[in-house]
Amino acid sequence: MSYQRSTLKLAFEDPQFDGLEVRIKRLPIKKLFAVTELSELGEDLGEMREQFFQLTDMVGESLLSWNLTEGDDEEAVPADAEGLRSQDIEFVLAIVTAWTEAATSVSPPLPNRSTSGQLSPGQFELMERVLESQLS
Amino acid sequence: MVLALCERFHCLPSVLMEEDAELLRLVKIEALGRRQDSGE
Repeated sequence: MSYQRSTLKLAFEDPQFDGLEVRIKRLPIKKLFAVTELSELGEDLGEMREQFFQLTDMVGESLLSWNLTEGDDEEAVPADAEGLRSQDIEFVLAIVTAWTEAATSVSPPLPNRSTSGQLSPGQFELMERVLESQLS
Repeated sequence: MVLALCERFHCLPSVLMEEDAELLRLVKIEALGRRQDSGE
């Protein structure tokens, strides 16, 4: 019997990517640092091109599946480095951002701490009324 | 950060780098909890 760690399903904040579903491998710390560094593209065109190729190679080898299609006949775009390179930089960077977010981000703490189960007088009366109505 | 984590988990950077980035999330959550406990 084999076991495989769960994969990541990416979520996108930008509404232009609504409906896009991407599944990708989990992210080791080494790769996290590498993709973060590569996604800060340089200003020199040659350097930027080299970075873009390295970045798409790195993301492409971890991509598992997506529902990206192109054209009127909705031809599936392969979920690999070549498929990524057929898209624009904005799309690739959106995937990188969603990947690093999915791997490391933490939601901010809730605003109020627990009251240790103590109810306010109003809440207590409401609960009593609900219980009474359920028992009657 | 890497060296601090290596000291904490008693491992070499090469070992730490192979760990899942989930570890960084856990470290962040712990830091948030500690900050809340100290009333910040």
